[in-house]
Amino acid sequence: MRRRLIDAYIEGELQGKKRERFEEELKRDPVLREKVEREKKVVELMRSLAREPVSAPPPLPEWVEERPDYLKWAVAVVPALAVLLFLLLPKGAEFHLIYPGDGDVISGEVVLRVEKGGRVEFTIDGISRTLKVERGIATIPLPELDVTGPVNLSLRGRKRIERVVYVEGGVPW
Amino acid sequence: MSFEERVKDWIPKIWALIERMIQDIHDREDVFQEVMRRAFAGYTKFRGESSFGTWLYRIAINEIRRYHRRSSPLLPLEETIPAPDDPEGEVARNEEIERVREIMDTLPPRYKEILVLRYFQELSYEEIARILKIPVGTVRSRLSRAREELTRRFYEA
Repeated sequence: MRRRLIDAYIEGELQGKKRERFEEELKRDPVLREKVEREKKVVELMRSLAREPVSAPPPLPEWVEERPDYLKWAVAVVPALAVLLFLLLPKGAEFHLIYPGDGDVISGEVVLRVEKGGRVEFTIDGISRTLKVERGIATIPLPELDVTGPVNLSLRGRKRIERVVYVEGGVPW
Repeated sequence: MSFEERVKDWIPKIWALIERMIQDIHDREDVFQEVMRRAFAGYTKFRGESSFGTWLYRIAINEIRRYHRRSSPLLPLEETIPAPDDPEGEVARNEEIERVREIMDTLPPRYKEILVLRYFQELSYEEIARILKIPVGTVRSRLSRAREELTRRFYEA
């Protein structure tokens, strides 16, 4: 308990009545007074020593200045890479089918298994149409068309089309 | 903020700590370089759970401890010769300051480090507790014992 009082007094934490009482005790007790004065003096000397100037710090090692800031680089480069990757990724499946029809009228439908819904563009004999398909089995009705030879049907979509399951009258190419 | 920008303001404090804790001039520079290397290497993992200064002080204290473990703490002391035209009282005081410095260098490192953090770096008990990862109560009691030991050795000398 007394030790705590001495510490608080030396550290300047003892205030008000407590401080007055402790100072009274110091006057009465020469042994305690000497002990406290000695410690106070040593603390003062330490503080004087602390005020002495220190030498200049050495320069930072060169590698600290030259090494790149990886965090900064990551913040700048990662989003750019992500955008580039997105642009380079295939936009979706593309299928080519050939109708063997020769003088036939094409009709029917294309049945697709769609893994993820979205817009699908199909082109048949130069005519394009865009349709929205849902996930699962999607049926795309074909326009009636007179053809005199093989016709290329292509399907293209940003979303993934797993595969063409069935094309009435058509042959996967 | 880059490491260099962030560390810039802390370098004088960290250097002052190293200078107070390590006597050999060349060893100080080695320890300083090692502290900076470790801080730089660990900066990407710094999550800001403590302040940057506390984190840096902790690295410095750990490196100083590592240094004291592998080398003898009783190295030859640097001589400080008082200026001849000093008044007598000031010469005596300088001698006392010098004696405190010498005795501090012979104290156990954990006593010396807490005295340096408190009286040289002027850190609060709470800051010292965070740097040394010890409770505030332990900071108070260790500081008290360190001060008592320093006083005892000073008056014995």
